[in-house]
Amino acid sequence: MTSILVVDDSRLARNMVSSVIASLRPDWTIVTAASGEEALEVIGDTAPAAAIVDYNMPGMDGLALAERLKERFLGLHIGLLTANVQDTLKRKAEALGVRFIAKPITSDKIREFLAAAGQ
Amino acid sequence: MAASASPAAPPSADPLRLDADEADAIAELFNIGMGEPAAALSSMLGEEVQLSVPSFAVSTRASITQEVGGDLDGGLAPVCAVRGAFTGPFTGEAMLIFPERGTLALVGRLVPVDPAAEAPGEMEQDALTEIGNIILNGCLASLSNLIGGEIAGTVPGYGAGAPEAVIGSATDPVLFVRIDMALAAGDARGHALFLLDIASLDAFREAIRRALAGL
Repeated sequence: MTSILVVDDSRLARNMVSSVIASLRPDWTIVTAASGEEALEVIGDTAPAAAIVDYNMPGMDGLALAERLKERFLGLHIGLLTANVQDTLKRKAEALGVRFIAKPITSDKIREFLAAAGQ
Repeated sequence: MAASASPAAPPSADPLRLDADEADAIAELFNIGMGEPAAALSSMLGEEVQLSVPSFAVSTRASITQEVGGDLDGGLAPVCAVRGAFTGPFTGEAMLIFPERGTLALVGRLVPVDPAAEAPGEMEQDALTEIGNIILNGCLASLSNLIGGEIAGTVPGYGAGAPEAVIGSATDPVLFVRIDMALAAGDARGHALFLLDIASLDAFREAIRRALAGL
């Protein structure tokens, strides 16, 4: 079964991303977590098809989480979903091979991300 | 804190009670709202502007003074602030606040600052006012777009003094959104504060509902 990991400390943001994914890929399982720490725990060793993670979260930030996920799942496609649209952060995301997705989320942004991830 | 109030309670039963989803939505809307203006400030300064996760609570000016003032050089040193009222679907006051030393470090990126200066002079005050204008009105503009209604901000003005004099000491309840800001170099740390009048909570709820429906 195909799954996708969605990590955001805001429940609103998790729900919005989840509902967009559910409409685009109704047969996918959406695994959500409210923090980086929780994400690493719930995802276990099952590689998701992709991950969408928020940057600005209490505890581990989205880039640190992306790094950990990439170590665990080689070649995982990760989108960094954030309101923080500063160039510094965009460059850090690019350097990690993480796709930058600016909040607020739209259906088009998720569709483009999934297409770029080959999904 | 009311933000953790039971989601089962009818939202209108207590004017101070917001359910967890509403509190979460408010924090997230401000998080999105701060994104663009922080990027604008970052390109102005040529440096990363770090932002905290927004926190949201029902509070009073007296407790905010204690909470925020305590963070700013121990609450005793004077602070510099840029403040402006806003009106629209919800009304209140937006405030960018930095300790004096942090203000000098911040505006020193934009204008030459006398290294011997202890307090911001006229030019430094103008520079902070412009930064406040970008951050506060930028955030309110993003929020306006999100909720699909106009929020009119006044031109923010500069003020300085003890945290109590700047933030106030009133004990009536206000909705309080706090976002901490810091320059990557670590020498300027301050806060963007949004104090929303409780009287406008219903309008605010309605605006949030519209924002969520439109996203």
